Amino acid sequence: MNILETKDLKVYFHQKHQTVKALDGVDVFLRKGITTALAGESGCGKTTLAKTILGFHSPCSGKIYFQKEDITVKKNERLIRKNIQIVFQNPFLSLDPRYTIFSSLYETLNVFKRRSKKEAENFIAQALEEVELNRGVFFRYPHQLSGGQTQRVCIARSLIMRAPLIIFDEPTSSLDITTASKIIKLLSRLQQDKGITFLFISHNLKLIRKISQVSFIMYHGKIFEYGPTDLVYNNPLHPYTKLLKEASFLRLKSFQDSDIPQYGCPFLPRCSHRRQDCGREVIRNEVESGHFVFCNLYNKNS
Amino acid sequence: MKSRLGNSVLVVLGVLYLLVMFAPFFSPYSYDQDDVLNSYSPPTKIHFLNIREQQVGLFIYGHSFEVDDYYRRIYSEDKTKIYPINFFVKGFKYKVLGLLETDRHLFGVREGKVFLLGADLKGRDIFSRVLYGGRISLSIGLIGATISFVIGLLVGGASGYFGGKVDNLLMRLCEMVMMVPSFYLMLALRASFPPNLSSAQVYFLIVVILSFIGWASTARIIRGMAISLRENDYIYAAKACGLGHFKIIVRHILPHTLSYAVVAIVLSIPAYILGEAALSLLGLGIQEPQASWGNLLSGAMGIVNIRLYPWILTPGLFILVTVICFNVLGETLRDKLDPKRKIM
Amino acid sequence: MRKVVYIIMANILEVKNLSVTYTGVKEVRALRGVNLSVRKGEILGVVGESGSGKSTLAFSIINLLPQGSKKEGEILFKNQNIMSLSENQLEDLRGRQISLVFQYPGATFNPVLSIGYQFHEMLKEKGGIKSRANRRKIIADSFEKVRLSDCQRMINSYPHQLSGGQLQRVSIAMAISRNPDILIADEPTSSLDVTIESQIVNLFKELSDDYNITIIFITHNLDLVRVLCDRAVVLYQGKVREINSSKELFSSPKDSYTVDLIESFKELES
Repeated sequence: MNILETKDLKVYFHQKHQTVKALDGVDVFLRKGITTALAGESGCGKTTLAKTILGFHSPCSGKIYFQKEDITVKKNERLIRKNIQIVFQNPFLSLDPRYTIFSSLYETLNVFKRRSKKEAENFIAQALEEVELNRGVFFRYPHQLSGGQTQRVCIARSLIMRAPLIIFDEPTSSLDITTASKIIKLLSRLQQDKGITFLFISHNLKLIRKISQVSFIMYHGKIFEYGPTDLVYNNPLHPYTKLLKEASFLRLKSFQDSDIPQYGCPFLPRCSHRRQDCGREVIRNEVESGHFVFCNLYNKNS
Repeated sequence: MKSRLGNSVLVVLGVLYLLVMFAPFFSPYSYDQDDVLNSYSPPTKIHFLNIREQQVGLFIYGHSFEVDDYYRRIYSEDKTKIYPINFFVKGFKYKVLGLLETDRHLFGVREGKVFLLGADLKGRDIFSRVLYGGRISLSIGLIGATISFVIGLLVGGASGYFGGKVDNLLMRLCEMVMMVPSFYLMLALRASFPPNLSSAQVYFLIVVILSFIGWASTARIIRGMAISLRENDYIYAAKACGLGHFKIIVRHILPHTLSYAVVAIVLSIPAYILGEAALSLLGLGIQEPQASWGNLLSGAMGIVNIRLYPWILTPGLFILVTVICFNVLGETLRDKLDPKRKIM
Repeated sequence: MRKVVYIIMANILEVKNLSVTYTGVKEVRALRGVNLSVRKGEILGVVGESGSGKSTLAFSIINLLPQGSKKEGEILFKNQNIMSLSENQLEDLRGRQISLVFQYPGATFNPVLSIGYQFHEMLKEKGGIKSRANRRKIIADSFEKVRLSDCQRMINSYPHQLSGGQLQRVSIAMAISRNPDILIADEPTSSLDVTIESQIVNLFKELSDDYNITIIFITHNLDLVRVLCDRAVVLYQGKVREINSSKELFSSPKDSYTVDLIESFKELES
């Protein structure tokens, strides 16, 4: 069952001279109770998608359904707030530096239901326990904690409202490697214990393989490939996915810089397999069961 | 060096505020106690020793005047009359901070008159009037600046945080306020109210007028800061948690502009003091016999008065010192709070 | 005392018992008695978590530490103690013999001047190359070395018109334009995308292979060390925990901290 679905989601930003198509017809779905990954380079629209799901950007067209309920309409904002949480890349930027950990979490806890400080204390202690922190951090400020601890606090904040869907926007890329690996372990454990749905955004294919069951590959506002992570990682179909995998093994050497074409496949200028029909509309092809790719190389009738 | 200057300025301001807060205690006479016999009496000389009369300790001589050919009074000391200056003497009755009734004053004379800074046309003690006037001038600065900053912070915060139409609307409003030269706006606003109001009403009116003029520039700067602050992840996190807009602005945006705001408040106080002085000088502010530094100076209009009775300019000296002090204090605070000068 | 005998290979840089303390509101001991040597032509990786003193090491080698920091020990570059050099000699040393590539390519350029202007200015003022034709030739050469094809367009463009990868390549081009002996790269890829990171890393490898530049590569990413570096120094809280060839570092780490580090790396990667 899909907990969240987007249908032909388009988010355009209008700047002075041009229109940036941050999301250009994105269809993604999140299966309940598993981790879905969203991978791509910076500027591909990963974070825009996350922020659109949370209602921070309003789409020009398209719909987002959370458990069959359209959440792009204004009246369902409460539904988003109660059910979808987010953890950002840099933990120090995502906690207000002027408040202690306790008051940050207490504020969150108090949004939908007022609780006395005494009552909240147990809730908060429990949430911190889930991320392997103790009451010692209650009255610390974010800058007094390490990056890993602060990120744990952010995770605790997303857990505290018992939201069924949590979005992680590159939660480990600003952390040291030892800390990152601990956070990844923690996330896997939380996922198993609680059965929450995770949307994990990252640019690191290796990391995605570790943590997710379904992956989406994204490039310049478009989904290029999706399917079970094993299939996507071990048998990448789209030339871009192949390039990402090469890069994650640091084997990518040649430089290509170019502009994005207006029509057809946005990857065209960087693609080494380009053909005549790549300038036309790209269609979806199912290559293996459940493994889809948006590339004309895999058209069956050509 | 800089911080020592800041500290001494703080001391000066502290003394000034203390003086005006306990104005009745420090002043020997009430602000409206007039005495026709002492019109434009010069500052009284204070003596310590008179060998002939075997008088030791602070005392003053009595004084009398003669009228010269132009019907001007020429005051002279009468060395036969000696009035010792006493401390904690009984005088007119007053309430300390509006609570405790007493009639003790720091100093005074039982007979004769002591004018530390001279007397004005009606023979009122300028020193006492300066202290009483300071109550209005100094408090208008603080209250006006605070009110206009609360408005500025809220408007600027909302404008920057929401952006779009709200921002457009509020900023155009700001520009409209800023477009009109502030002095004319002040006069126009004052003119739209009846001239014969009670002194409390006038006081309230001046505060409102001055804050109305002051908020716009603050709002614009706070807006700029709010725009950069709203892109922080913790704002998005707060939104994601379902926190209301007003709470986000008050709890997560405005506190980060506080160090700027404090500095700007202090630096803007002189403008309020000068604004009140300007209004009162023109007779549109605090009315006689109530004193304010501005309307005290209105007695000093005209070159003849200044030439003949220079002591009536002393309220101006107080304004000068206060304005300089607030400016230096603001500069020092800015250096302390914002060493990189990121904002201003 | 155990004496370690290395294979004969000239040391180009030696750091002896280097300690750096930042004085300020709070004293921070960034480096505590660091000993290491850099051999000619190798790529030496300096690995550590944030706050381990990696960047401090880089800045002390070119003597660019902030004012009010205390330095002890010796840094020998070609048997000459850098710490005893005068400011003029240091100016000459930086850029011509030791040059630096920073983490954020966007922040290393002045945004209001064109790339070409900044490159020319650097060569003229610091390099003392007066002839414009000579400078042009050097610029074209260095752009070729970093695989920037469209030299003329690069020269005429402003920093914001280029992508992060292009900018980083321009800054590498500037760093190697005067044929330095040592190139210090301070996390040159950590602000870039995965695809660009891979490209830049391979560029460093080619530079080292083709032009025999000695590279000190500072990073927190062990993957880069494995692919790029010949030897690696592991720093932790200002101390050297292990110096090893990068192969052995991954196959048989000796120090307990390194073991932890490698383990968590392998956990994430495989």
